[in-house]
Amino acid sequence: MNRSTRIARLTVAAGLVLGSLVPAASASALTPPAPSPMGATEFGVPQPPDPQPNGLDQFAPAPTDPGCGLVCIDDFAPGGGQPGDGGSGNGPGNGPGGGSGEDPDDGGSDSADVESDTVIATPTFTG
Amino acid sequence: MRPLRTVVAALVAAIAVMAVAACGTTATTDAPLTGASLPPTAISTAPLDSSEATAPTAESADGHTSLVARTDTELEVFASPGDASPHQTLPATTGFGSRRALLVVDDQGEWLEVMLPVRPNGSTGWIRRADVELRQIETAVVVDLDARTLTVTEAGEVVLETTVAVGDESSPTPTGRFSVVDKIDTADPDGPYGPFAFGLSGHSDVLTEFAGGDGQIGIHGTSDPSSIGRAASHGCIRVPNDIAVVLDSLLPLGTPVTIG
Repeated sequence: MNRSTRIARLTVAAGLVLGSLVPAASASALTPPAPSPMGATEFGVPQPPDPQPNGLDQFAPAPTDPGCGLVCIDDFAPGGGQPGDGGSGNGPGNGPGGGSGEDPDDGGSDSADVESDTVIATPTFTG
Repeated sequence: MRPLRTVVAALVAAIAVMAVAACGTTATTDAPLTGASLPPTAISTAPLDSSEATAPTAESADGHTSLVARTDTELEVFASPGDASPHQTLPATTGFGSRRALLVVDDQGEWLEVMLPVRPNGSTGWIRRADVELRQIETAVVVDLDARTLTVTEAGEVVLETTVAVGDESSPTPTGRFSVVDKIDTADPDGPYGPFAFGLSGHSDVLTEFAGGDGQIGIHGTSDPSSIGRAASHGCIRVPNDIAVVLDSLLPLGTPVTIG
């Protein structure tokens, strides 16, 4: 085997080896693998997570309550309600209205009661 | 997130504790009213249980609280507590249509001695506690004939003082302790009684009739403001008309009026 023949054979062998590898690599480059739920490709190579519309990647747990932000109190104390709910709940009964009967501002009934005894008539007092 | 949740949960717990504490404070005000615990208001709108063992006496120890017996039905009046038959029966309303409201001057449990709006001045009678609704009032009126002033107090504090006209020498204003038994909107603010008139339980010692009435005295406005400050009336107490308007909102039926 002369030198030319040996070079030719080595070239063919290399071409065969490359031929078995390059098509697969090319296919991977053209068609990215679908991300698995774990965020890894089928080849086990971690892929960058797809950005989500809310700016959170798929690895982050869903926010508990996006509307509440960081002070989502009802997540922690569902029985107590939010601060606003508690205030409005107590307000009518214990707040401005008094509701106890002792509060002098209780519905303004004191003054109303005093005036409600007034009748329309023509007096005949001694003048 | 966990530490933050812990902090927020602690805040919620603190808010809940404060809310419970606030409710507890209010709850204590629901206790039965007594003379000592009443706020400085003109009238207590909560009727007192006539069978209440701790019901206040006719006048509190400090003299600032009075009891008024109210009814909207005929009221039997007895000469003495425990009498079997009534001495007289009062109509449910006065001759002007005012609801019957009598100042209590003595409290004997099931029996109350009340001031009667009849002659002679100072007449009293006994009624059954169960027949009336009792209210406490802290409003009182004092008329000083010499100074010609009228003073309104609530819980002992002066809330209004004004110059008045009083009876002249021929028909002096009677002295003594009376009560407001009529509150009248005259519907004629420019008339001789002004916009409002308040009938008292007393009567003139001189006039047995006047303008079709029986000589009942009263506090009222006037069409003669120049008379204010003088002894110029037939026995009534005249006040400026703007004061008469204020008095309508200050004086509940039964308000004690002391004239001296």
